[in-house]
Amino acid sequence: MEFFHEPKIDWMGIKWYFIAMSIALALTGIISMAVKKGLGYGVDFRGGTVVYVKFSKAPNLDAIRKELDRENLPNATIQGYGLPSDHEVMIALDLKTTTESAALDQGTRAIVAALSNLFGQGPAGRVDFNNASPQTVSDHLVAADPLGLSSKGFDTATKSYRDLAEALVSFRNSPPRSGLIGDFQELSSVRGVNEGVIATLKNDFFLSSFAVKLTQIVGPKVGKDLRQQALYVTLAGLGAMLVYIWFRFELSYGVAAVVATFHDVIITLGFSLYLIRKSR
Amino acid sequence: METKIRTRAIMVGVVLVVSILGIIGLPKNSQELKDNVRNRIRLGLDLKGGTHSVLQVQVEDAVNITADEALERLKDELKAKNIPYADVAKADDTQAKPPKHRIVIKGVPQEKGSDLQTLASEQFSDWELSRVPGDVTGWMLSLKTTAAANIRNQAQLQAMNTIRNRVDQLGVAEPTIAEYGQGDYELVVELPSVDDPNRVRDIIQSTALLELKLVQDGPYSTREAALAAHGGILPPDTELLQGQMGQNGSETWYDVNRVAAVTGRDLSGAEPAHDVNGRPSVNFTLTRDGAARFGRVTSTNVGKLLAVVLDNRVYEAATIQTQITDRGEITGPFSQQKVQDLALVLRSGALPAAIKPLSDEVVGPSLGADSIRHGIVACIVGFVAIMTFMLVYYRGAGVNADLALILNLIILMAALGYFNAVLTLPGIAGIILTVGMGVDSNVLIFERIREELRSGKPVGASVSGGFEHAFVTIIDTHVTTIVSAAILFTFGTGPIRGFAVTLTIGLLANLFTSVFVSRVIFDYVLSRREKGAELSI
Repeated sequence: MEFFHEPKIDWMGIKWYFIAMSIALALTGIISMAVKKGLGYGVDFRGGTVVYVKFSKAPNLDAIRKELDRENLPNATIQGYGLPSDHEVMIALDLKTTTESAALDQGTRAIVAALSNLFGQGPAGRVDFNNASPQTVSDHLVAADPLGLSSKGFDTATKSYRDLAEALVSFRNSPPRSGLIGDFQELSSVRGVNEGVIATLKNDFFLSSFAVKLTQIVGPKVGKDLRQQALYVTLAGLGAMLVYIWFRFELSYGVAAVVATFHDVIITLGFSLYLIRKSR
Repeated sequence: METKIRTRAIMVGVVLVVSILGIIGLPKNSQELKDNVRNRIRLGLDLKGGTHSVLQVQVEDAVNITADEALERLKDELKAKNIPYADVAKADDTQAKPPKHRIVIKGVPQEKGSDLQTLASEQFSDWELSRVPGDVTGWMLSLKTTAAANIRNQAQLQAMNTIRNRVDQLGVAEPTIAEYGQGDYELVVELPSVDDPNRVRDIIQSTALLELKLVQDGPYSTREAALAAHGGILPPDTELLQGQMGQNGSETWYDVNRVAAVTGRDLSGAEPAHDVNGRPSVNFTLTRDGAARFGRVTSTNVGKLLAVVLDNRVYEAATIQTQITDRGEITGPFSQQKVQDLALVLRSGALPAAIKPLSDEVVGPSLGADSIRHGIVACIVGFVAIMTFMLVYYRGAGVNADLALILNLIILMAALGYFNAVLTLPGIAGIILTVGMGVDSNVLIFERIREELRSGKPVGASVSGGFEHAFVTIIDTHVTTIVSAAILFTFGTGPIRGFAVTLTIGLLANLFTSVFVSRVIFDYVLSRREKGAELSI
């Protein structure tokens, strides 16, 4: 199969049409960047705080907003993220709020506190299994000893329960659960789990309906440094390309290649502002 | 011809086997297979979970401390050498970048000038002595820029070591603590799969400056009350420090000596314990020198209060009953966890300067699992799509390209394992990109072969001609891309480096597979085909 059988296209003859199209596309790119005031920076270039949370069922965004207002974060951006069936939400604070707080992570702590108030309340004295670390799970298992391992000695028992805790947490974290389980019975398929283990978990833990997947806090200096570095790296790359092609062919070829690449990048950046939704 | 093909085929076979072993080892069952793969391919922070922080060491604090110490020392030395003076004070130029530290001495009589010069050159070699213009009795000591720069660099190094110490004591596996950025005294700390990121962050960033200071006066209920008791001016060489908050939010203030009797540097150990009331506390022991000094201070100040000051906050003020030499205790509203952390932090030593967090990223482990799954799905979809296209467009030669592509990916994964390279999410993107760019080389070769066939050349010569002529172009495209990747690797961090690594290794492997391996397969096919038959391309 061949797309073009001995194509005989007079490329140079119609070059003016292509030049016009290139200029038009490049201008569109530049204009879209001007309209959107920037290059659509993500949080690592822009600075600020962003928290990605997964819920077990579709969350009420208004309730979250009200709770965040109560935590003194009125300017938080809350938007759904990913597939609707994933129930994932992105909560973002702009750079100003982040820099004005006393500690860098004050925003994230406030957000997690707000979410705990709304979705993470369990019976007093119990720990949230969905946000627990393997160490915490292991500690509770060792204390309750549902597998009767204390006869084997403290070290063996601790190691076995630590491995079991790691397996349980790993199971919880892997897709399709992705960090949240709805019922302790789901854990029965993990190797080494018996009814006693499930009973211990039911006794000591509860299941909240949210899990924090990612938090990113970027201060102004880091954001600015990264933008600068990205610019230098891009220019260095273009420069290296120019030198190599000049060395292999001629200077004018090198310049042509760099101009062409630059034009491609402008178009890509410009169009991506409209085509790529806010992502990580 | 046959032997040449066989030798080459054996070479390809060897590469294939070595690569497969590199990925899966020698597993005895399917569980071991999965474990081997997981162990050999190191996952980056974005796929495994963990924390990534950029911290700035406030190195000016360290320089300030040195300047303050020099000031105290100067006063002692001037007294010891019998050089009278009217006033000695700091006169820093804070507008300069970096700030210049200066001490101004006023009222030194003319005849003592040479004594002062001798003193300065012997005891204050990091400072430059000059006269104050327009004042015959005025002299100025300026901290030399090299000395100041040295202090700053030392502070950064020491901060790095202290943090590394603390992280080791926490038992975090495979941490990364390194310098970061361009000369602004920044550090990057990467800790994979941490159980409690908040607790770890607090431990790393706590300054943990422990000082035992004699209390001159106190406690007072407010700062104003303390000042008022002294008529608005504190006694010389003392400062006001705040103590613990009371039950009802009440404050306590103490007027303590500025210079500490004993500091954290005199600690030889710190352990969690319980105080007389059974509450968690920290017991610390002092070194010989520290103990000697502590003994002197306590024996001459029985009956006075001694304040335990941590990070400029008074944790407790106890009456000195008798001379104490080598141990002490810190009590407070601590939880069991807090005293363990506090003891850890005291054992690792105080940070030489405060640490200011500039950025912080915590990747939850469930996100990593999601990303890996999405990455693998994308890889497979991209791979299958390209393989199908090659089969449809190039028929028999498409099989050739697909085999080369499979080998390319196997070599890439094996190389990642052998080099202990880190696979990140952009790294997975790099793998998918390698699939696209790799097959590009095959396309160049095949199209050239098609051209040669069209111009009437026999099959054997067309294949040779195709490979020969396309080779230089393949080198060009690969070199330009690898150069870009190298620049990304040099200047990028973490995940971006992962991308540069997979792309570079993928393209280098591709040079081998698309030129050498494809050629071997072609040669084999040609040697088996009847004379005059068409080549499926």
